[in-house]
Amino acid sequence: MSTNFKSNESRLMPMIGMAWTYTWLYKLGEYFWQHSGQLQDYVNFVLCEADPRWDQQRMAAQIIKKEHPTADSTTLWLKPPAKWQGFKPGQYVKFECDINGSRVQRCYSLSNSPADFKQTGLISITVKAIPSGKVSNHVKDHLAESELVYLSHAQGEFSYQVASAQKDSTSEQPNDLASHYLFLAGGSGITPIKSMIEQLIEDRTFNHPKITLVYTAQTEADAIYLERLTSLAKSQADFDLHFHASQEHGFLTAKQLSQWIEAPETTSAFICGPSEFMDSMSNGLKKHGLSNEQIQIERFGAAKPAIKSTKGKLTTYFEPTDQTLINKGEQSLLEMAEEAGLNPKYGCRAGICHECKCKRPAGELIDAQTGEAIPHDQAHIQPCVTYAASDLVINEWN
Amino acid sequence: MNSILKNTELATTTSFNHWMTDKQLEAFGKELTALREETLKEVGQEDADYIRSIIRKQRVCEISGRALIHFSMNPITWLAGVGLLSVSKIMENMEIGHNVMHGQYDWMNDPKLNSQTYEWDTVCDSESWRKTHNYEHHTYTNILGKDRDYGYAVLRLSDDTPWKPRHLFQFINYGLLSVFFQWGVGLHELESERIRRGEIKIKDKVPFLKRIGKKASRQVLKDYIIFPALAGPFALKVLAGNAMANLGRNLWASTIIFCGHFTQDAHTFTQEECENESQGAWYLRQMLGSSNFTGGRWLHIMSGHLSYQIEHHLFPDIPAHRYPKMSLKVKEICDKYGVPYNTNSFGKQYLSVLKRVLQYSLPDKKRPLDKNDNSAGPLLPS
Ligand code: FES
Repeated sequence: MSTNFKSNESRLMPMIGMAWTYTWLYKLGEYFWQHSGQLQDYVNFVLCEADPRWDQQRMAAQIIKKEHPTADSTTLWLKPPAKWQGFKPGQYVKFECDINGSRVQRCYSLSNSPADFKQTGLISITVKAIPSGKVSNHVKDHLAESELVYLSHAQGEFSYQVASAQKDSTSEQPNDLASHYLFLAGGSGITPIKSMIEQLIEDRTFNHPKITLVYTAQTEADAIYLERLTSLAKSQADFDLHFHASQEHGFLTAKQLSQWIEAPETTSAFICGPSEFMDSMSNGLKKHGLSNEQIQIERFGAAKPAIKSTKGKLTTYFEPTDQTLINKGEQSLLEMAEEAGLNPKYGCRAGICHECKCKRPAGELIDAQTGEAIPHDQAHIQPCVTYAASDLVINEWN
Repeated sequence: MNSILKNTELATTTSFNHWMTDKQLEAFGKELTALREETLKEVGQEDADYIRSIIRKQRVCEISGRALIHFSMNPITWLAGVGLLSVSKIMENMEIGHNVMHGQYDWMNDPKLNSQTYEWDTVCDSESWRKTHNYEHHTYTNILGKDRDYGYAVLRLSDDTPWKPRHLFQFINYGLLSVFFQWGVGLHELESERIRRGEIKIKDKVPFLKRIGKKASRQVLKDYIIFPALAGPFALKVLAGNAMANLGRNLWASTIIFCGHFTQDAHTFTQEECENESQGAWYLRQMLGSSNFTGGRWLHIMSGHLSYQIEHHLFPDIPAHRYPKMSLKVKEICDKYGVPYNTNSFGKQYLSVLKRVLQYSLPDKKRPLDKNDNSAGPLLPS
């Protein structure tokens, strides 16, 4: 991006942030207030009335620019607030926006490089619209420039050790020894990888690894950033790009990988894409002599624990206590939790009082009152009037 | 059917079948559930905008009210400040706190508007309130001996409580309860009447006392120590202003709540008749036990839409600002099944509450009997 957004940065914001965190008067007030958080709410309310970007409780980021790199994907260029701590290439943020009055959150990889962020003050995320995907379609169709969305700090381990002049050359991190970075991207899995490649090229003054990117998508038209990456590959001597159109040439196979692995000992591999793609690629790499430590995989969301249903009976897995229960017919989630000895909170046991509550990361639920399935993005589940309709994972009991 | 319902004779039996047959009861329940589902489908952005705009107004009132109390140089600006702070406290307690804690806005997924974590600006600890109000009162509405909100263990409001000479003065008790309403609500979970009767020990209530102690002390600190102290030499003025605002809120809240369940025509129920209650019967009981009052838009907002107490009791977790619209359909259903829909102007309902409090302060024989008095409800013949 050509405009430098960093320079217009308000000086006031960091000052407010400081006062927010450190003032003893503030701390004292908070301590004596009826409930911690109330005083902050009022101060934050006044700040947000002045400028919604001054929100001290959430990190508001303004949409500076919206682009559509392919027909069904959207890139948002966002200006995070001053207190946002930056990121390592390959990391993601929790992205939050309001859809029909309710807050929804998704994780998206940052697709530009930290170097680019340093220069422009902007970060970008690229979201591919999934059919009937609530957030991805909202991003595509409804979010507009200058609107505010909310971010978390960057998170995630999917990154290489940033090579820098200060870096201790005797470090034993396997990634530092790599002289070849092999990236395998499937579909929208390209976003974190693009960020890593751009940063690697930026850092080449200190380190000279060879970079290979194998990028597969259905067709060329579906491939996000293909143009940008192709031109990068043309201008950079040690960066090879291999594009693989799966509609034409079939899925990428483990066998095909061999052509890109020269010295398995000094190769670091990064895989991101659909989970079947990641599984088959990592198996392939291992067959070609790479160790587990040399392979990094980006899986969004926690890996779901394997729950198998036995003979038509449904299994419910209670996450924090690590217990699995076989569902015996008509039994509410609350009853199941009690059977598992979880001691959940409850009141009316009839869906009136909202004392009971849990979350469901995976599985299908039926609302006992309506007999209908409970949509996956429903934020509040009342276990006393809810039944299992498939194998389940349940957590965050009240 | 309407005429049957007016008959007090029949109202003293033990079954809901005197209101309608099981079949009718089932159809009646289904209609109300359908209304609930229909409304839930519409809940969304509009409701989020509504509650946020109310919160915004409440905060503007509170901040400007406190500022006026603090910096006022004459009684008029001071009074305006007291008024604004009262209004803010009323809005926070009624339309925001009460409704948020019923889970009406849980679907927004906003941690600040979550029923389980919201803490309101009153002495009552929100966890305790969820237990005594959300659970006990809303599940066992007007069931004598189970709904402890019925008379708050201080007032005699039906024949169920045997008359004692002390009831002669219950009007004074009622006045005191209104003045110190937030303390009454806060200490409700203590069940002092049961401790007095020796049914439970004060020891059992230690965890509750710890919680309420913490909450109450913070409330007292805030309104009576910290804010006055911030005003330095004008501390007294701030202290008095805050006390007045709390008093205003207490009187208002108590009045609204009494109008919701203790009007002359609000029914009571026995534990026996509510055993194994069907969904339809549950709805019917909520309806018969509650009363509405009419008024302008702001009266509804300031009462947290408890002016639509009937709708609130039928659908406690639906955003309250939808009750006015829902009430049209509810009334229709009531007419269809011949169920009385207890509503009147605010003033008339309040007078009828006062009348009930006065009436039951007298022994049964002295009590002037009102022909249309349903207040005794379908009691067991003693
Ligand atoms: S226990 Fe009351 S809603 Fe679940």
